[in-house]
Amino acid sequence: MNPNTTTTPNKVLVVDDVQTNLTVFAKVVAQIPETEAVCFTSAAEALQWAGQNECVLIIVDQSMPEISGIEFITQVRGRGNSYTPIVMITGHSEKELQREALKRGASAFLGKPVDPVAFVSLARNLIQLRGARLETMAKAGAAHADQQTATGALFAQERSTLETLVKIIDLRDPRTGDHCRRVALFAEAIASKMGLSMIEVTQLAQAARIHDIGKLSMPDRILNKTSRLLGDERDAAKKHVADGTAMLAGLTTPILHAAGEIVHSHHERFDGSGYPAKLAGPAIPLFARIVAVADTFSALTSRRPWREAASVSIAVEQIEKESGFGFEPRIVGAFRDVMPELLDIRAEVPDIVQIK
Amino acid sequence: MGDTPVLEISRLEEIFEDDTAGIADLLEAAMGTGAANQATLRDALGRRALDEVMRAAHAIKGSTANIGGNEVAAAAAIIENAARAQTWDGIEPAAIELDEAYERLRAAVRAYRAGIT
Repeated sequence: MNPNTTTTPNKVLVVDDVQTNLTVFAKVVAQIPETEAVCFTSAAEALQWAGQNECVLIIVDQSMPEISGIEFITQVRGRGNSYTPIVMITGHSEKELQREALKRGASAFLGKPVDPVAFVSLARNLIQLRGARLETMAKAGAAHADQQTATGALFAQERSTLETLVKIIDLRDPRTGDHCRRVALFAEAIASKMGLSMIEVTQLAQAARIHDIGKLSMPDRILNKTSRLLGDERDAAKKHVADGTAMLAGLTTPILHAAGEIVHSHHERFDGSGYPAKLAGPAIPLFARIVAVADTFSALTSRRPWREAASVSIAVEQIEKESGFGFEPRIVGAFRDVMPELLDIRAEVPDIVQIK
Repeated sequence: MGDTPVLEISRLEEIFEDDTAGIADLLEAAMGTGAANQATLRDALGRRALDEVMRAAHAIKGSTANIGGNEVAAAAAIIENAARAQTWDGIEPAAIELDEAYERLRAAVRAYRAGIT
């Protein structure tokens, strides 16, 4: 039978190899408001139609010569159509057959001959359920899309904010900017070696770029001093931790929040003798513990106005001596393991600023 | 077949409402299909092919039950059930009854058509 091709939107697909059965079904379907039957005696043709058209309900006979009702249902569901209700019509009453059909995706059964009142009632309920399900899916999809858009915008905003802060640090003091870049790359290498997730490593690498942001408020006389800091000057320099923490306070996006933790805790020591809070061990945020090692290595191997840069071997020796005291042994181990990579980074981001 | 009616038309009247000509067309179309199904069943019986007997009887049962041909459908059900159980017991008398019931059904269909013209 050729499919009915009128333009009524709600189609009910009916598949039965017996033409007279289809004639009766078409009449029964006509009793459901705003629907019309699209009938096929060939299950293969019906499958083809179902793949190209939308329908609100599928009625399929079980016993057909080319494709059984169960196989038909399997193929419809296999093509990703999980929401169109399917009623299987069968003269069989075997429980096993019905269980199998349910497993394959049938929504309900009706026995032959179909009672028109029961059929119309069932069909209307199933069509309503389909509508509600599609509505729910659409709402969920829209909510997900909105969330994705909002999240994307948030990440873009966060990245933009971070880049701005990095630029400000560079403009205020290029030497600190270079140091922050090196520390971020060192920390990334160490964290990767430690087996942190890709997301964590990325967050750490970004957040560490502004770990010394507190130096923005450091007085020039201290920031640019060409001799060793003494007494009150050292205390003033330490204040960069509190100032940086205050600058980033209230920022809750992942990278900037992580940056806040690093800024606040990267001068803590593993044994609890650091500053500002004398945190110890795991009480110190992990990112800050990693940055502490990277920061020390960068500082030791950089020239200062009052001293030459330490050699790599001496810097490594000092850091290893602090294992279990200033630094977490696990991080020192990873630091040692990635030394070739750290040396490459150091060559790529040297301390190029001329010391005054 | 006892009290089983040859043609129970009330279900079709409920579906087709006042369209009695539509009912008559449907009944006559079903008789055409029925003749083909009967031939298939006879052929399968002649070849003692139980699986084909079962399928042919199933088709007859479904198509006649759909139009209210309950007497034929009942005979077909006996044949289908026996064949499904892989036994010939009861099939031959049921097949004879089915042919006779089909003749009565055809007569009832002709009478229905005559009654509406």
